[in-house]
Amino acid sequence: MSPLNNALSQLLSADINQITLSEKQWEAIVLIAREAGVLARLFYVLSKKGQFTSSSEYAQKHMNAARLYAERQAQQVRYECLMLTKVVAQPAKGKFAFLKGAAYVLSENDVALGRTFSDIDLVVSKEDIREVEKKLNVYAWFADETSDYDQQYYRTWTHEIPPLRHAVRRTVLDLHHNIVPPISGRAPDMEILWETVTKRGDFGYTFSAAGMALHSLIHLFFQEDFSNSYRDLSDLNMMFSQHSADPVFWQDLVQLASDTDFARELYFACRYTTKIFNTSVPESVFQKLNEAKPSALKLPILDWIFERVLLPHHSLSRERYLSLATFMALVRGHWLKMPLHILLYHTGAKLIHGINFLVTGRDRLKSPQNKSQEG
Amino acid sequence: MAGDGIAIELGIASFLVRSTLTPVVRNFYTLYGDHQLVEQGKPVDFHVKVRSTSTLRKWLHPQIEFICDQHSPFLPLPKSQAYPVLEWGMNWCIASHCHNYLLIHAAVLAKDGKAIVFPAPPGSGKSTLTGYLAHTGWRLLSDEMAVIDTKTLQVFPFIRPICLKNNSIDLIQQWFPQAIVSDVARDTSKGDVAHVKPPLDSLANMYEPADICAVVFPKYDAAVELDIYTLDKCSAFLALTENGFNNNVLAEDGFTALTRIVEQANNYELAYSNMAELVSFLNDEVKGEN
Repeated sequence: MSPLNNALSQLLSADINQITLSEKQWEAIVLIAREAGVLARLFYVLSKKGQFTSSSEYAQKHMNAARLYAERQAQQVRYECLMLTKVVAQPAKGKFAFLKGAAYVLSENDVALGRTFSDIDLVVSKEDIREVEKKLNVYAWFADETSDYDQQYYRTWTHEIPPLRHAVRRTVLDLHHNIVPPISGRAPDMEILWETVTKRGDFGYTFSAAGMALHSLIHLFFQEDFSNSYRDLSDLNMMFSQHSADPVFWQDLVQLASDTDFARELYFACRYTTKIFNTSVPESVFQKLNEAKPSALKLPILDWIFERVLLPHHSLSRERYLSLATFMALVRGHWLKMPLHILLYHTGAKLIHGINFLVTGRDRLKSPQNKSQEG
Repeated sequence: MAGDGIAIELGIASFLVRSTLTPVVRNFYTLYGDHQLVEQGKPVDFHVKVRSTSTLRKWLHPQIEFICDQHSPFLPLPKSQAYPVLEWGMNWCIASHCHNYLLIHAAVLAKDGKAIVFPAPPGSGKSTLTGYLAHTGWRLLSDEMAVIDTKTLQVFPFIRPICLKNNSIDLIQQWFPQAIVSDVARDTSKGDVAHVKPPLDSLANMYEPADICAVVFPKYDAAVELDIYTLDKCSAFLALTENGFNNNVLAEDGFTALTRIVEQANNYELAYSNMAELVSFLNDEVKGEN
């Protein structure tokens, strides 16, 4: 780990440790943390550890500004969830849950601290998604103009519909019916997760703490894009640390991971939070996950990849061979998520479309009268 | 400005600026030649650069981009706009990240320690007025952004070149032949654009905040000499929020600060074409004689 990535990870970890940084090192930490999306979180974690005031004045100024922004986002998200709950409760038959960032905020768990996001994620059951979408349309949530190909791609192969945007407030909503694309063959039986839903006052539902952790780790390890991975791993660190001494949380989490067949992803989450943030994961959890552990042949390769792509990608602290590791993670992620023939078809369609657009300047995938709003 | 770049102090924030593009370097040296450098070893708030985009397109239609740390917040623009993009990008950095202050899209000038805030949309003649006042005994605090402490309500200097558009470039040069003006960038989204170096006596006070005595919404109108309307507190508040950069982020603190500003200050809307009469009114305002 590069020294700056290591310093930032120690600052974000739950342990109180004495870190002495020069003014210039604090500058680098602020830049890296901002780029990785954890600057506001650093404010809260250091404050909680009683170490905020011992950071440099420069860092305090920037962390505080980021905290103000994150605070506002949290307030806005609560408002949006309140509004959305009123709209979707009936067509979703009361079966809906906010996911990821919005869910963290509603849960008021530590993982909400300083968490910023660009959209709101909501899951409903598959048979209700059309009705929910229609009702959202009535309440001014519309899809941006997308090509017919993209519409079909989303609706046939993924676990969500194209993003909806509120016409006045411009908030973006991702509406899902599963947490994993069904085409991967790995989409869990959502009933397992619906079992865990917890009501959050008038703000609607989220999964339980263990359910949110499961979704977070699947989202991080069962995919190909690692651009927000450090923030996501830091989310897991926050969740694991808060519940480190809570046997029920770990029992639920291991059970959920095993029921949904994502035990290996849970193993990765435990392994890399421990390696990077020194998170205290109970030893018994590792023992229970022993079967999910990759083989002694594969593990060093996975370590090599993940100990690069999961760290901040800032030019000041770039890990060596990051580009190669990112490429390997990209290939691995696509491989996991999509059968090869569909991946090739999709890549081919996008490529031909791109070439067409370059040469003719016309978007051939889009029909003259865009039918995308009909849902 | 290649390699390690140049780090300058701008009071509320410092910037590390890098570029190898000749027009950027030349204009930056012209306009910021008298700003202080950041001391060695001190951290710098924003790391920015302007560079050519590196696509095939650069042979056909050269473009440049502004980078804040690792990313560009804007789409690439034609190369002729390289310098103004640096200035606009620096404004973006403050507006997007400096939530320790209430930020309002406004010029700020002071006399005798009392500041007048001039919020105004583009096209109102705000920068021409700023250029005029800054060269006639007023202290320039900012051409683009009022930087306000939400507790003390004092406004802090953020002294940057004054951004002139179209006809006002010639006007300022005629009025003040001693003014130092950058190259003119043609055909930007705002028309022709040039920047004027801030006067030295303003720069000398770059750490001195000032109390706000008036909020003035100016509007250049060739048909009138000078019309002055006193704004009621509510209208002034609404007009001020419309020019706010981050009052939404500051929420209650921002709301309270804006309310207190319009309650404590005199608030006017002005239509003018006679600069001398306008300035005489403003002089009386800071003396408390209106």
